[in-house]
Amino acid sequence: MRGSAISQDRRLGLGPKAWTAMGLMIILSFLEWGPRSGLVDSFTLPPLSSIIVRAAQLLVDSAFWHQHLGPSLLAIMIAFLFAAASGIVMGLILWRFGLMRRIFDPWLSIYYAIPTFALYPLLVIVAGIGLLPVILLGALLAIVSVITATLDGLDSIPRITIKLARALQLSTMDYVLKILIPSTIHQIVVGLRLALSFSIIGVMASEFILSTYGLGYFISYAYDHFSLNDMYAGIAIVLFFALGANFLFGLLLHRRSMRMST
Amino acid sequence: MRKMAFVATGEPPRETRGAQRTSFAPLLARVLTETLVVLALPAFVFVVWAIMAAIIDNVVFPGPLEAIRGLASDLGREGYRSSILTTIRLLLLSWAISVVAGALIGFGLGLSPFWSRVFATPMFAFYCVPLVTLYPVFILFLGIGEESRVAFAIAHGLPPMALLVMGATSGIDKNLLRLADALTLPWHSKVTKIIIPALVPTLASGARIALGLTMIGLILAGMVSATSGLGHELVNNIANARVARITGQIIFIVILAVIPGLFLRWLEQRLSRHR
Repeated sequence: MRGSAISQDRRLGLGPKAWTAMGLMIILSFLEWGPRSGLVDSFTLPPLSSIIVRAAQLLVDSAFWHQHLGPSLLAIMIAFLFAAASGIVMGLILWRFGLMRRIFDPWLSIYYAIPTFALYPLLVIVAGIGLLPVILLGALLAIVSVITATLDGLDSIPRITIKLARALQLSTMDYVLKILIPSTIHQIVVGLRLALSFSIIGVMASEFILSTYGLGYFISYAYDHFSLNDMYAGIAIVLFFALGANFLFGLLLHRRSMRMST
Repeated sequence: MRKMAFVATGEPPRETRGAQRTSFAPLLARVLTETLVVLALPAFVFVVWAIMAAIIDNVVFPGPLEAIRGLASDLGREGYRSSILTTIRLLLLSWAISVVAGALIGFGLGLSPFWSRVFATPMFAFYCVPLVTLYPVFILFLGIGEESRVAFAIAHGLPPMALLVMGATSGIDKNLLRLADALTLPWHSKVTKIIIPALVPTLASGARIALGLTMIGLILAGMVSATSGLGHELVNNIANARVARITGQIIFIVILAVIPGLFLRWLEQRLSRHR
């Protein structure tokens, strides 16, 4: 009710989504016309259209896919899947064992204060310069959001559901797969959405700092060699994938909550 | 009653139990227990690390003692001590700006459900973007000095702070505000007696999250471009392949991030309980 009232609310004849779209259009127009009109130095910031053209060229370039985009996407996917699977399992274990949860709780809440990127050199020493340290860092960054989301979901299961499961004398596996996971799936999906973002951030950051391939490295290399058009094209591709993945997850969540409300 | 296969639960979160026990347990015993609980995980990590270092070749993978020795030799350098001070100075500056500006922006937007809705999506999207790939843009526009590092750290800390305060402001019980109107309270009384007390736990939580994120931004920026600071020192040691020092520095950075983080978490819990 409240949401629909806000949707019907208007300022200067425009609803909230239209204002957001208009703000975006203003920013995009500035990125195009600012450099063209000389308001911004066109070397420092090339016009948006030339960035998009370069990004499109890169996206159809097989060498770019092979050397940069492919490894990055693969690393993000593996890091995300690893964080998702192990995060859910860790969440279940911590929920089950109170002492372990008590020990982990303070560290889970301040985990994102720890600059995990600083571990990258150590991971390189242990795992070598390959895809593995990049994946590990992405997974390390993403896993805690899945653990905390799983714990939140499990904490919110009604006592009556747990009592019912006990009365049915389900096996542990059935209890987890038929009661716990379905009851917490909404919170887990929210955690997975964050985990995907953190996987992208972790992979990009490790590639950017020290790697010798991947999209993060491509941007870093282009910046170091003053290929600013390439650098901005790389950034545009990263933004496209990061925001696109986030949008798709948002859509999934929205559909799910719509289904639950009907 | 709670002990059935995989049914622990329902166990109330730790904080709630702590709050109920506060008046009964002696203060010292409680502080000691809490400290032991907090230190249990790092102690376990150190033990596993020491065992792994003993198994793997020590030159490639230093143990905790080598790491501490490496850190001690770094701390003996004037340049490293100055890097610590630079990082702390920039961290405090960027954190203060993130918290104050984020709180004000979030509060301003949160007062209007309409503008909250307009700005929520782009702010959340900004939070999900790998900002490190945008760091060259910060350098191009602000130069390679401290300004770009501070701006980059603020870009990490400000959006979540603003998002949290925006959500908390729009969630303030409207009946309380109506009551204040009915009592014809002046605006400053409304702010100090209703709005700020309602926002305090969120401000504490936002301050904790913003501290961690500004720290991450600062270390990342230091690793990419700085000529001083802990990020720069880390990259310097990587370039010189000083493994024990790298590990020692990582311990130091983690300690630097964790101590204020734990303190702010404790403060946040206290404020939430008082509320």
